[in-house]
This record gives sequence, C-alpha cells and structure tokens, in this order.
Amino acid sequence: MITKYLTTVSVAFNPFSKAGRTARIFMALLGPYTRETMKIKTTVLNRDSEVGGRVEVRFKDGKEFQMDTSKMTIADIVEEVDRHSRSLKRADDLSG
Amino acid sequence: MAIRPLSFFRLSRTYTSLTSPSTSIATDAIPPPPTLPGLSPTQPRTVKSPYTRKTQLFRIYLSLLRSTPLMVFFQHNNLRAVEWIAIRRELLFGLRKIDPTSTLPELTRITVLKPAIFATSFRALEGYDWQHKRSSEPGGSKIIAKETETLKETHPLSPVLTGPIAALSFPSVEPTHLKAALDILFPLKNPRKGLDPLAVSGLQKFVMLAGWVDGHVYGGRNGEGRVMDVDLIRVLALLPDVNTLHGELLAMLRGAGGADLIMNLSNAGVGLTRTVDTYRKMLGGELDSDGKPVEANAGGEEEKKG
Repeated sequence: MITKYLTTVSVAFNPFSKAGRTARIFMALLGPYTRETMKIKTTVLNRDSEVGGRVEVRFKDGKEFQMDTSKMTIADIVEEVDRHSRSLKRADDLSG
Repeated sequence: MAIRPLSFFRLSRTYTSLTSPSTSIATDAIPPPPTLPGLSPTQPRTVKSPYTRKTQLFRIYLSLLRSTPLMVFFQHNNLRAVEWIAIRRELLFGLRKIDPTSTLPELTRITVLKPAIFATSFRALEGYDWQHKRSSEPGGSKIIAKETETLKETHPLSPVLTGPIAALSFPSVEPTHLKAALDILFPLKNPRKGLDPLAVSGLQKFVMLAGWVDGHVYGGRNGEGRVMDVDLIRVLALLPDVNTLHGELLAMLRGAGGADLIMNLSNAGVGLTRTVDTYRKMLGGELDSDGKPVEANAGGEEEKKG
C-alpha cells in the first residue's frame, strides 16, 4: 500500500466482532516509521457497538474519504486508497 | 565432510533438546515422541510429534494459558526491535518499583503470539476440560479439534485472536500490578513522564483489545474463564487487593446484623437437633409416644403386678 500521500488516518473498530477485523489489519499495514509523517488515531469501540469497523483517510491534497469496513476485505481498502495515491504519485512524477 | 554440516542443519531445525547430537547424526530416523511420565499439570502431553515448530508453539501456549490467571491481549502494529526492548525494560522496571522484593515483575511477560495456533490451544483449554479427560493416544488431537469446533463461532475471544496480537500475562491477579502495567503500556492520556523515547514511540503502536481471567480464578475450573473488554480491565485494575476485600467483607458481616444472621442460622440447626434427639429417645424406648419419660409407667405396672 502507498502510504506516502496520507496525512491523517483514523481507525475505529470493535475487537469483539468479526467485522472489525479488516480495520485492524489496515492498521498493521502502516509501516513502523509512518507516525513521523502522518497522524494516526485509533478508537476501540464498545463491545456491543453496531459498527464493526470504520476507516477515515485524508490525503495530502485535502481529499478525504470514509469507509465502513464491516463488509470489505483488506484488499478492497488497499485498492480504494491506492487509487487516489497513484494519481497523486503520477502528478508528483510529472512535476519532477 | 559434505554430510556433516547437512545433518547439523537438520538438527538445528528440529527444535528439540531431547536427543543427543551423536545419535541424531548417526541415524536419520526420528525417535518416537517422549512419553513424559509424571508431568506437571501445566505441562501438556504430546499428542503430535514434538519435532515441529507448530507443536512446540502449541505446547508453549497451552502451558502459558494453564499457568496464567490473567491475560491482556493487545495489537502491536509494526514495532521496531529496539522499541520492543525498551518497552519490556520499562515494564520490568516499572513493576519493580512497587515491591522490589517480589518475583512478580520477572514473571509478568509480553508474548508475541501466532494467532491461529494460540486460538487452537485456547480452544483446547476452554473447550476440552483436561482435568477430566486426558488424551495422549494417537488421534487425540482430532478428538480435541472435533469437540472444540463450535468454540470458533461461539467463544467471545475468537474474533480477537486475529492479526498481529500479543499477550501480557500475569502470574497472579494483583490489581496494583495490573494498574501499574496498564499505566505504562496503555496510558489513558499521555505516556508516563520519564519513559525511554523509544518506548514512547512504541507505545503509540499498541492497541489494547481484550482481557481474560482464567477459569480457576473466575469459576473454579478450566472452561469457565471470563472475557473482559477494555473498560472492564480498567475497572479490575482499580479494585483493592484481596486482603483488603476480605477485611471489608468481615467488617460488613460484623456491623450489619452479622450476629442476628448467625443466630438465625444456628436456630434451625438447634431445633433440628432437638427433634431428632427426641425421636431417637422414643425409638430407643426412653420416652413414650407423648414424649413423657417411660420410667414412671413401667414402675406403676410393676406395682400392680406386685
């Protein structure tokens, strides 16, 4: 996953629900040094909360989007995030 | 000379200290699993071959679970090695400050888990009550797997045991130690002042998920463990220690009508004893059916005869 263009990530999940699993794995995809370049916020939801998992991402160009990850797989999230990251990367490369 | 290093590698991969090097180099055949006579209660029997890493991990986890009354599970997100070292050191030193003479700090450990194998050994502990059934015959692991299959869906801890998780295990349930450990590892606001900066950067990558109290502490036997969420763990950490609670209970019993309670409870016993004693005397012939002494009547009859 391309994490270079992310500025803020906030993850909320319910650890006692299977639906929270994807959000937890998403956290594990952020590398050991990413906290120096972006803000990461994690919230552990209540045990009987309805929401399984939620991921909010904000990019360097100001675009942000929210995902309810209860029914998504980790590959789905990576695809969503990378789609925008790639366009930023292309602009970055062209500008030199 | 070409064979020796090969066989040496083979030996180093088998994770065993049970065979002597000379025999292993001489023969390629793997000896049968040890029977382990007179093993301690925390030492799991070997059902599968002990020469694979999976089996060893399973046995380590099962042994850890059986000897640990309190565990806190947390997620670790890509910590560097130096951060792990710093955190373990801070935890040890922080716990030592409470009571320098106690052995608790050394036995309070952070173990990084392989979630799938840990979940299997956890199911074996919770679902397959080893106190009553012990299975070391071939195929025993299949029996355990079949009996604990339903726990995959029903046990509240099974969704927690996925992804990169680690466990903080305590050798006994001591709220003061738990509180100290939580303050260091999972601070509510800012990390404690004076921590190693490496430890601080590592702590940001920890997320506390759940806790588990062993069945022996909670329900008196395995399989009755209690799963706690984050709030409940923090509540447990705020409790006073066991001696204080005992004292409070005694004081409460003594103060709030404890004497009356004991009198009422003993009244029933005294009444029952008297009734049973009367019946015993009746049957023995000491008393008649009205409960009066027999001696007087007997004496009267003798007088009539005389």
